[in-house]
Amino acid sequence: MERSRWLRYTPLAVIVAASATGIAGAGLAAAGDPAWAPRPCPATAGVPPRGDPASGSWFRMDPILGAEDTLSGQRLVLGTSAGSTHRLSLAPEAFASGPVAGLVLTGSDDGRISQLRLLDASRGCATGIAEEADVVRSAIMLPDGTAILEHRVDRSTRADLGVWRRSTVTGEAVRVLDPMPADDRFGPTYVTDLRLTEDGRIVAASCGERLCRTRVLDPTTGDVTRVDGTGPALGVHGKWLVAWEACAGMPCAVTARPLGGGAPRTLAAAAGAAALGGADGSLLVTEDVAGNVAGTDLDTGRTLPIAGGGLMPLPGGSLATSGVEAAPGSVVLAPGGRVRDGRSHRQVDPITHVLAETKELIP
Amino acid sequence: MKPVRITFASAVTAAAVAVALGASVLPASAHSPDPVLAGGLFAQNQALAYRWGSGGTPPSAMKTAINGAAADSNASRQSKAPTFAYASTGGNTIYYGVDVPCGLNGLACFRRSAPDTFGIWLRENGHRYDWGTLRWCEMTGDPTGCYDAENITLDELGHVHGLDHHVNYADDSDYTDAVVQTYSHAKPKVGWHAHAFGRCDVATLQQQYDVASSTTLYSTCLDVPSSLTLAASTTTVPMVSTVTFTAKLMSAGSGRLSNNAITGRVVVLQQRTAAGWADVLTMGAGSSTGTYTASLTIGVDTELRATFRKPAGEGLRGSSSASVLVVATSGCTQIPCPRAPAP
Repeated sequence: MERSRWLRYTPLAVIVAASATGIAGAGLAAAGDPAWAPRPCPATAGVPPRGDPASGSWFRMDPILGAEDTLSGQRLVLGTSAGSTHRLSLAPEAFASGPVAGLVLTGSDDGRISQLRLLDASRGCATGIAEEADVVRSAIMLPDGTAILEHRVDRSTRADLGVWRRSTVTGEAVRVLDPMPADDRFGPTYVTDLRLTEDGRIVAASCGERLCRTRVLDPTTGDVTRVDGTGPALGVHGKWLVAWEACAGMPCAVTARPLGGGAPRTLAAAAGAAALGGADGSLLVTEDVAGNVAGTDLDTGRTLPIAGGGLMPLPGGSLATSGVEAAPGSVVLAPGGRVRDGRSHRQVDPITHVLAETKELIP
Repeated sequence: MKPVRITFASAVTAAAVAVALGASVLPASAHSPDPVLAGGLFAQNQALAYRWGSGGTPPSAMKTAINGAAADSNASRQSKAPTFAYASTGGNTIYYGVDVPCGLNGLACFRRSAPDTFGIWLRENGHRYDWGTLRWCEMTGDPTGCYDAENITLDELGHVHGLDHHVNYADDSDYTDAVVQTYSHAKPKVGWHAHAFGRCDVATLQQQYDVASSTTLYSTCLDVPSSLTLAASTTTVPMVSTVTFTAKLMSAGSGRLSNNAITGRVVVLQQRTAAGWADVLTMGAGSSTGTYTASLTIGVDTELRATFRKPAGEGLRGSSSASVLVVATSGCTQIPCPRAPAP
C-alpha cells in the first residue's frame, strides 16, 4: 500500500538520537565522542591532494537544532568502509561533497570567511584549500583532484557571484560561470546545485522556490547552454538535460529536455526520488510511490526493477547531505536516500544496471 | 543563438545563452481557478488526521501555526474538500526540522498519496539558502523578512487537497486571489499572512469537491452558469385568481458544479409589459432545496418568468426561466370586466 512508502522514511533526527543512545550501527560516531581535530595531511608541492580511493570513504551531514529549535550548526560524520569514523562540527552555513579519490570536500562559513578543506577519513587528516571572503555555498571536486568548482554569493547582499574554478594546488580561482541575473519570474534563488557529467561538463542549476535555471558548461569548448523552467537537475545525457519537473511536491515527473530547446520527454511520470548514472548519464534510477526502485536505460528505453525495501537513490550534487565513494557512473542506493554508515548502502552497476554489494564495486 | 565560448584556462566568464524557456515559466492565463495536481483526490469531506512526524515534532509556536492553518483550511474551504485535525494517532504526518526529503528548494513541501495519506515537511528555522536565512515569523518575533508558518502550511494543505500553484498576472496584482502560490511572500509583502484560502483556491476546491451546501456562495473566481425553471400552480384561471409560482434555481456548470440546487439567493418574478420585463415581486424560499415561491393575483392574461440576476459577490451567472403564460378566463367579478370589449 502506498501509505507504507511515505511512512517508511526515517527522519534524520531519529538517526541522530539513535546514535546518541548507542543503538545505531557500529560505524556511527556517538554524539558524546570528542570532536575531531584533523591534523594537516602531508603535501607535495605542485601535486594535487590525493586520498585512498579504495578506502570506501563516506560522509553524512547532520544539521543540528539548538535549544530554540533553530539551526545551530552542522555535524559532519565521515568514515571508511573499514570502520574508522570521524565527527566534525561545522557552522550552520556548511556543506560537504564527494568523496572523490578518498577525499571529502567540505566548506564552513563562520560569518567572516568560508573555509574550504579536503578531509581524508582514511588517514585522519585535512588539507586546507582556501579561506574565501565571499560565502561559498557549495562546491565539488573534479575527478582528477586538480580543482574544485565552487558557487559563491556576496557576504552582505547574498547576490549571486557565479561559479568559480579553484586550483587545489595553487588555491587560485577564476570564474567560469557568471552570476545568474535576478529575474522576477523565478524569484529569489534558494539553492544552486553543481554537478559534473561523465564527459566533464558542468551542470549548474540555480533554483528559485519552484523553478530552476540550469546552465551546462562544456569546458573543452566553452559552450554554455541554458534550460529554464524545470525543477532541480539530475544531470545531462548527451544533448539532453534530465531534470525534475517544476513540481509543487512529490511525487513528481522526471523529464528530459533538449539542451538546444524543444519539447520535453517524460521519463518517469511520478517519482519520489531519482538519480542519474550509468555510462554518460544513460541510466535513470527512480523510486516510485510504492517504494520500488527501477532503472531506465535512456538509450533503449528499457526499464528494469532494481530494488525495494526502503532503498532510495542518493540525490548527488554539491548539495547532497551524504555521499560515498563509488565507481564512476554508478548510482548509490541507501535507506531513506542517505548514507548512514559504511555498510548500509548499495550500488547500481553503471554497465549492467544490477544492484551490487558495496564491497564488490570498491576497487 | 550562437553559444558563447569560454575556457577554464582563459579565466573568461561567459554569459549563458541558448535559453530554452520552459512552457511552465510564463503564465498561460490569470484569474482562473488554481490548476489541479495530478494524482487524484481525497474523498468529499474526508477527515484527515495528522500527527507530528517522528523526530520532527514542531516547537510550540509552530504547532500553533500548523493547527491554525488546519483550522483556516476547514473554515475557508467553502466546499466538500477534506478537513484536517490533529490527532496523536493520525495517519498522516506533519514534520518540522532538518530532514526535508522532498527537494532542495522551497520553505516546505508535501507528499500526497490520495486518497490514503499525505505528509508535510517544514524546514527548520535558520535554514540557509542562497538568498539568506529562513526565519519563521512565529518563532522569531515577527520581524520584517520572516515567513508566516501558518500561511505556508495553509499553502501546503491546499496542495494536499490537490491544488497546484495559482497562475498570477505578470505584475502579481492578483496575488491575494490565492494562498497556493508559486512564490511565498515574506513579511510585509502583500499576502504574506493570509490565513484563508483565496477565491481562486476555493474555486478549484469547489470544482473538484463540490460546494459545501446549497447556500454556499460560488467563488468569484468562477463563472458558473445557472438555470432557472418556473412553474405555475395553474395556467388557466378565472380572472382575479391567485396563482402560486414555483421557481427552481440550479447550477449549470460542469462536473461537480452541475445540477446543484441553489438556495438563499434573490429570485424575482417578472411580468412582460409593453416596455419589456418588469419586476413584480421577490420570490420567497420554497419548501424544497433550490426552490422559490410567490403567489400572484391574476386578473388578465399574464406572461411571467423568474429571473436570477448575477450577484455581485458570487461567481454565478444570472439566468431567467422560460416564460409562463397564465390565461385568465371569463367569469370575472370586476365591472367592467377587463377582458370585455370596449364599448
